[in-house]
Amino acid sequence: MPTAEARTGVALQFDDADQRHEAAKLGMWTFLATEVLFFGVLFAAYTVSRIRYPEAFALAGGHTDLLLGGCETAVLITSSATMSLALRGVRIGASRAALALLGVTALLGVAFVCIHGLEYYHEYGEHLVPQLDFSFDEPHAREAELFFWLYYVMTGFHVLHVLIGVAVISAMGALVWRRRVGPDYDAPVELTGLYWSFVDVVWIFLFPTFYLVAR
Amino acid sequence: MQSRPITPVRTYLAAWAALLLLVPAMIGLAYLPLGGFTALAVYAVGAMEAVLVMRYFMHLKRSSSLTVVFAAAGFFWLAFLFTLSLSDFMTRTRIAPPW
Amino acid sequence: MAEADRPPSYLAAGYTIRSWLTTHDHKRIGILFAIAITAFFFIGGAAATMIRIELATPAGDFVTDDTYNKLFTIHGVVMVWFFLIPSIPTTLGNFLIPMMIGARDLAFPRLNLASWYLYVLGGAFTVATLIAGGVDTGWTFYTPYSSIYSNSHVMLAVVGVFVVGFSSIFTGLNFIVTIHTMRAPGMTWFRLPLFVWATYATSLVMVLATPVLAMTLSLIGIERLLGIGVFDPALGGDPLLFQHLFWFYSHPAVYIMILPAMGVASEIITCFARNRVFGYRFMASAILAIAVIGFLVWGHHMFVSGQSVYAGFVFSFLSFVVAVPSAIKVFNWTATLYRGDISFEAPMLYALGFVGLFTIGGLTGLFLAATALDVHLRDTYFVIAHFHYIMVGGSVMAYLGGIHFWWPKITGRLYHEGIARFAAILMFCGFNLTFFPQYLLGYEGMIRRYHEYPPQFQLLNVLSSAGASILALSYLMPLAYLAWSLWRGAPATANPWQAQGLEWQTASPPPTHNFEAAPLVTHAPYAYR
Repeated sequence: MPTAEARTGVALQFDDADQRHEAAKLGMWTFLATEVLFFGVLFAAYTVSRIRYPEAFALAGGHTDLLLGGCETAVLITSSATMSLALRGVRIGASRAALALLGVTALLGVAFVCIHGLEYYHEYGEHLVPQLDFSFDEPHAREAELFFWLYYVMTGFHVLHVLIGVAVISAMGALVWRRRVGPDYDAPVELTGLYWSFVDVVWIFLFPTFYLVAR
Repeated sequence: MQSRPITPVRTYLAAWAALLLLVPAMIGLAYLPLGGFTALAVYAVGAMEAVLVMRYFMHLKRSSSLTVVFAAAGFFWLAFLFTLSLSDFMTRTRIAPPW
Repeated sequence: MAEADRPPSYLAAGYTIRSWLTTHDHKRIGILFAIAITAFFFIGGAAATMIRIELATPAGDFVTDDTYNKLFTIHGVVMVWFFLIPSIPTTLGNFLIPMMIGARDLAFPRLNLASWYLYVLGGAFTVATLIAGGVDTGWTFYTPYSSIYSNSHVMLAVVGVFVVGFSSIFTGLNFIVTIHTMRAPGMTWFRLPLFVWATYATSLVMVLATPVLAMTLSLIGIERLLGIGVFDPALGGDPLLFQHLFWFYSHPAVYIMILPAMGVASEIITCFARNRVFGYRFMASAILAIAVIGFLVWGHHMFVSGQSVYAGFVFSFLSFVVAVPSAIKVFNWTATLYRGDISFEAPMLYALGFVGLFTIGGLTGLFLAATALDVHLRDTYFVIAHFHYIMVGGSVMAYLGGIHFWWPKITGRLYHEGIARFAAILMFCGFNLTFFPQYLLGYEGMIRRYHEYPPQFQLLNVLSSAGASILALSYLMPLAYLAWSLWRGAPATANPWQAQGLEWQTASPPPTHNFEAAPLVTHAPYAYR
């Protein structure tokens, strides 16, 4: 199996490894910019709706689970830290530590999804699923349903990104295990870290959006 | 080949600690009677958290200014979408028909 | 270097279909795209043909109203997303950008190939939409018709456009990173050809605008599937929100369609006027200004939709502002011609046609940017004439000009100059006959997207349809003589036009890795004098 050392021969279009690394980083940041705009549309739709229906959103916002939401925030922030530490491990050649940290990061990602699944399950029990099973016994039920539609769509897209992230982090674990990445070639891990921290940033904005509307 | 910069563990731990303090701070702000400014305060704390993540966990602190521009571009462009769309939604007035 | 020692051209590096479908070479990928977009151009053109046949008579007697709705929808969807937006960037851009900056390939060759496969996949969904019976919402997919009421194949169409949008994003990402990180030694930003600046600005727009479209289309899909969403007024949503989100992408999209054309025009005009471009830094700045300000004007599509009047003021003002950098470019192209040693080869005819027709189209955009006039002209044929002057008289002519200009470089063959000049002039005449009457029709009140019209509009419509038949012929001609040149054209030298630019320093067609030695750039571009 080719070692990280053997992989320093860069692909033909690049002059050297530094150019390749720079290109990879800029490429990932460009992709993240597209993701900002992709999620941004949903935040814009939410903003417009909230401006139009402040009371409905305030009432609906009281029905999200603040404790679970807060836990999810802490879990993702921690996973962002462990991911950065994993990259550091790869860079200093501490592959066992890197592997362990990648594992913790992935587990925290899974934990996030589980906690969120629990939230969805509770909301289903409280009849807060638009179109399928929605009954809201406070005023402005119609607009409250809109709040919850936005909640499911936005957190749903986010969970999808978390799942993809967990898969990619696991793949990075495989690369570290087989010594395909190391101090000489760490770009895949760095890029994965950027993606994962970005997913954290999206949640940082999702959290006040749905859990701190009117407390 | 230039060697990649290694961030000390304590930097990461400090950032992590700061973030974990900001989360209850944000929640606390939401419970204060700030009226219309609650949203502003809460998202301001969110922005601080995002900056911490981007600066330390996404390594913008030691990246080239070009990288920082790339990182900021998406948010800057999103501001275009928000500002000009809201210029419509927040200035709509009812114009009575002449009949 | 002797003939026998020269590395094989990129065309000779593998003759199997597999070598083409698995290539990483940006030049081959450019050709794959060219074949694909040409096929879609003729699909969109077939729809246009049927539209013009219907509109030759006032009565709706050729197709039903439903079918007509599907025809203009598929014409718009195909021409915008499967022809105009990819055209110059994925064909000429892919082929030339690495060569113009002195690189061996783009930064991410496999991403480039993926971009082509996504295009084909998106195209397959669109063809499936056609076969399944079409979509009738208009290429603009306005809600609530598209999200609730239409019984046509909206989902298929929306998925197709979503997928091809990612093709666009990947291409743009690739160009941005390549231009930033892989310029040859000495190739500073202000030594770049304007085609590179134009492609760079286009890529910025692709990357920043297309994700918004992707999410907006997803929201239509979700609303159709689940019956709830933010666009349905009955549920508290707002159809105008859709329009804001849609046009936030679709207005910058028109700059995706015109900026590369402007880049091509600068390359051709400097070469055939044998002159430096006038005001290089202003030209580069104008390109960036168009790209940025173009993001701030989308509300001019919504003046009478129910948008706030105050927002209308802002958008109208900004729409006037965005015309300024375009005007600067037109002045500078004209100044580049002044005291030049001008010759009228086919590429130059296309480029000059581009400048004139783009100017007319751009001026009529100012009519539409004036809110009061827009109340009268909106949704009439005036709007259709305006954007066709820019898209067809502008972008398509520049695209064809570029294809002719770089044909020797890409294929190693020369086309027949006499026939090419004839086709270019025929196209100019056919185009004006088709679309100028539409300005008059619109001004007199003929409404767009209707399969029938009041009889007093017939004469101008007949002229327009007649022009369309000439225009169609003038598009078939290059297809024929360019294909013919592949078999029987005279072999081309490295630089048949005696043009400046790194791409002309290497053989026609180039070797797989473009340059035998990495070039060193020591002077400004367009060193014609």
